[in-house]
Amino acid sequence: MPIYRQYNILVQLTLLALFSITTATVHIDTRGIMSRAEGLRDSNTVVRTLWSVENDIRISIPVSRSFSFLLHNKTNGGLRSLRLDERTVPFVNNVYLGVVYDFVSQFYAGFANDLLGASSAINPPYITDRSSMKQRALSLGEIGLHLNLDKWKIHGDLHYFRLNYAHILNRDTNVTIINTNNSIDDDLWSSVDISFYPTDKFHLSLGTHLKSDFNEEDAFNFGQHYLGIGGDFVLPIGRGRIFLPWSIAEQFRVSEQLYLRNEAEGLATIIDIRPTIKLRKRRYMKFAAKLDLSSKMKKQWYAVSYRKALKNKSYLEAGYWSVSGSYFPRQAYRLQASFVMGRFSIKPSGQFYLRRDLNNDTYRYYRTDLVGELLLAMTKSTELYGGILSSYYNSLRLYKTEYHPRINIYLGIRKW
Amino acid sequence: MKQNHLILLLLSMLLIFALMHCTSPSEQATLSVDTKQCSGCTNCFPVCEADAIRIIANKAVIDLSKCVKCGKCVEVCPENAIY
Repeated sequence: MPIYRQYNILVQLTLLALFSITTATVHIDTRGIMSRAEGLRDSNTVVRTLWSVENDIRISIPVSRSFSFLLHNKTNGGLRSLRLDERTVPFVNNVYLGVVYDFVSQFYAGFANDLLGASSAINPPYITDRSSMKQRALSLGEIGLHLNLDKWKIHGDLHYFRLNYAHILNRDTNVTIINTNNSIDDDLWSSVDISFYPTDKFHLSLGTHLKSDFNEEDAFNFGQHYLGIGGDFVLPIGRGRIFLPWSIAEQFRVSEQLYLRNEAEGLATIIDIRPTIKLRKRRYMKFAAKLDLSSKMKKQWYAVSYRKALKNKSYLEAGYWSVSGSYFPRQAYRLQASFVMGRFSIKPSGQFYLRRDLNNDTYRYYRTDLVGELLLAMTKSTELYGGILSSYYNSLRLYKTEYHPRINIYLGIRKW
Repeated sequence: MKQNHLILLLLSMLLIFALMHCTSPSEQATLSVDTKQCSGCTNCFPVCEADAIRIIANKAVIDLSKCVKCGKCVEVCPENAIY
């Protein structure tokens, strides 16, 4: 090839790279975290303090009007003293590379990988006496096509996961690894969803979601097929202030493991309604009810919240939600607020939980979460934030310790 | 908060509380993810004892064939989306 043609190609590629970089969309979220928690080791309570840094970068680089590259990098690392003799490194780095092609609809393809063969050390608290734990590294390949036509939406997706993990088993009281087992888990998740919109406020939908396990033969294959209707309209009562999104679907679950364990498989009816009432200017009440009904399960999820928007985008919100008929029935009361004062924002919130065990007919308080966050808007698309998150467990079988406060203090910067 | 609105909120909570007691905990129940609540934070993936959780299209998905109902994902979810 003549030298001047090579020079032209080099210039064109350089200009294309510069054009792509200058028009790239970048989202960055970086923060440092100090975590303090209590755990249990050899029947003694141990307090641990961890220092770590989390980094999340998303970059979208448009090459043309309809073609763009995606880069997503998540990093998590810090000063973690290894509590046990597990094989681990205190650093995790995950990278996702993808392409998106928007024509009449959207085609995407991507690949993600944890760049280290071992995952990060597991944070306390966790059950340590004679228990097992896993370390994981996940790789992903995906491809999909989403057709969004005038009255039709047809989505097809394929996701392939490869999980490398080490399963550490049966440690004795001196915390020595007795047995390790390096394993690979390969799964293929596929889905097809079709929706028809005869009007703006009503739609019919059907689809199938399948998971194929390549390691356990057919024993751990799983499938969900559904057919449903839904809509979103304004009720004729209440002077047009009541909005009602709703959906009802019949779902059929197929799983040999669910059948063998006598858990809820087969046909189920899923009802989802979430009305919103606009009480007055800047005051709303939101309700939500989701029912999962089958011959072996009557699971119910309810939520109600009241929100009052104040001036300058501030707000107050009180809420209550509950789950019943599930394996973990719970209730929670929530209070949260946001006060905006010029460039500063303060966001306090508190949430109080009650739960009921399988052998207990009454609800008991067991957990409190308190959060205080402070934000400083530096520019229109950059903010500095910091906060404290405190979780207190009154008593919980899961963690085998009675007094279990956890405190996270974080400081970071966010750009979008 | 207006008095009427507060009464409406309290009545709603009482109604839901009453509905809650119509059903008992169920050993046969499976876990679900409410996709409208799920923010894709990925807190649930590393704590799952059975490797039954994947993040697909920025939403958590539970493989019910592998789920052992340990409850750790329910506790770590900041949005209360797993139930």
